[in-house]
Amino acid sequence: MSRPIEQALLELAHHIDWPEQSAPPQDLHRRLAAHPASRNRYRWISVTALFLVVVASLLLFSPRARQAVADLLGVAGIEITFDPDPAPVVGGELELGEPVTLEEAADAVDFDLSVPENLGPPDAVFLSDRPGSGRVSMVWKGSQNLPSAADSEVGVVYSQFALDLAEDSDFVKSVTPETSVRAVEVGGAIGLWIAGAPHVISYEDAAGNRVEEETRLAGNVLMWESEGVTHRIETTAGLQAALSLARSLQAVP
Amino acid sequence: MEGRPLNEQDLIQRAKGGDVAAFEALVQIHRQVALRVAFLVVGDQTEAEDLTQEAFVKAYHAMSRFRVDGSFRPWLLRIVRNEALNQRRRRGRQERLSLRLANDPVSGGAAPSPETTVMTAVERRTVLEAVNGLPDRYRDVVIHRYLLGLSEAETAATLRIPAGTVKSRTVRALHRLEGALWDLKEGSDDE
Repeated sequence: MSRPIEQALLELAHHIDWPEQSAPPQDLHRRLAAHPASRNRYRWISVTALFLVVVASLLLFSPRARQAVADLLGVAGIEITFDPDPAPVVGGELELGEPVTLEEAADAVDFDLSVPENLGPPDAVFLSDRPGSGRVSMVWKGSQNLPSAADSEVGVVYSQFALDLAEDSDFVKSVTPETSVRAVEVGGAIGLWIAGAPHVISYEDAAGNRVEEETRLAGNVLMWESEGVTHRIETTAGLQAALSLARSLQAVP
Repeated sequence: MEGRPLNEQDLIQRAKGGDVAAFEALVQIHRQVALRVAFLVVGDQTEAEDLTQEAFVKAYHAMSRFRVDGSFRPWLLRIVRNEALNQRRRRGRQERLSLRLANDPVSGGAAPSPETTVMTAVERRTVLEAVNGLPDRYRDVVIHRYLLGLSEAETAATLRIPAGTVKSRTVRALHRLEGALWDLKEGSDDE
């Protein structure tokens, strides 16, 4: 807390034009008193929560996905359960980063974004600041050809990040015997098709950093690198569907 | 006693048991920062007040799921921000909020003491403009950490991002601010 800029910010905090509280506290009191926490309602939440926990335990082996469910239940369960118009972001539960618009994502990263023409505009776009200079993930709802995952309405997650893979990276580390990994050609580049059970893979980038990747949809992953940008398509569908998406990539104008 | 509130843990225990007064006392403690968190998202005072109220009602009904050993403020702020983001999404408009400086009483009893006032009004405006000019992901972190005074962990919980991300964004944001302010200084020196 000693840099001048930090001191300036802390001082600035005292001079911001914040809104003043004007709503009478009685209003909150009236609403809380009018709708006391109902036992029935709670029981329903508990049953729903229990169901979700069971489903989550059965279907989700990824720690990240488990965390997402735990977060949902711990904090925002009311959103999914009761709000008549919750308008949640598609794929928000996958913890891919902050929801942004395609334009915001394109502005935020220092590489050119692509989007698979086959799928049309994404249903949601997320931005995360790791790995490398940032990762943009686009999600699409499940469709007939690309069905959604068991625990999400999302059928495809397409992520892009700028990260040079090491030439001789020992790519796959933490896959189970049920996971198969094979090299495939994607638009002239050598990519990896990782299919089967949910998995965590890790690899080394050109700078020698170890990067861990987890499945979000418990699906299959096609990964390849092109011009310094790593592309990762995760889908519940097979290799041909993933390759077809990869072939239809177009630069975002 | 003597009208002093119970400590927060006592209030939490009571509120979890459905005690409306205890819950009201709890949110009263955090009402101001909650309103500000909401205001940062929707940029409108009335809207921020309404949705904060809404979020409090939801938090009250979610109290049974609040872990007693957890930290209440970030839990509440996360619900408030969530409500605000949903509200902004429903509304469809996404215009960007720019924070403004209050009309400081330059003199008068309520003004900060001279020793604590290091910056001139112009300097404050310059710094605030630099903050307003940051990309959202950096600006959010800076505002929550420094202008709202939340800890790193509280900021992470409120913004729903990992603590490590708060840390790295803070570093980058401060760097950017320093860069922006340095450029300005350079520019004004040239004049």
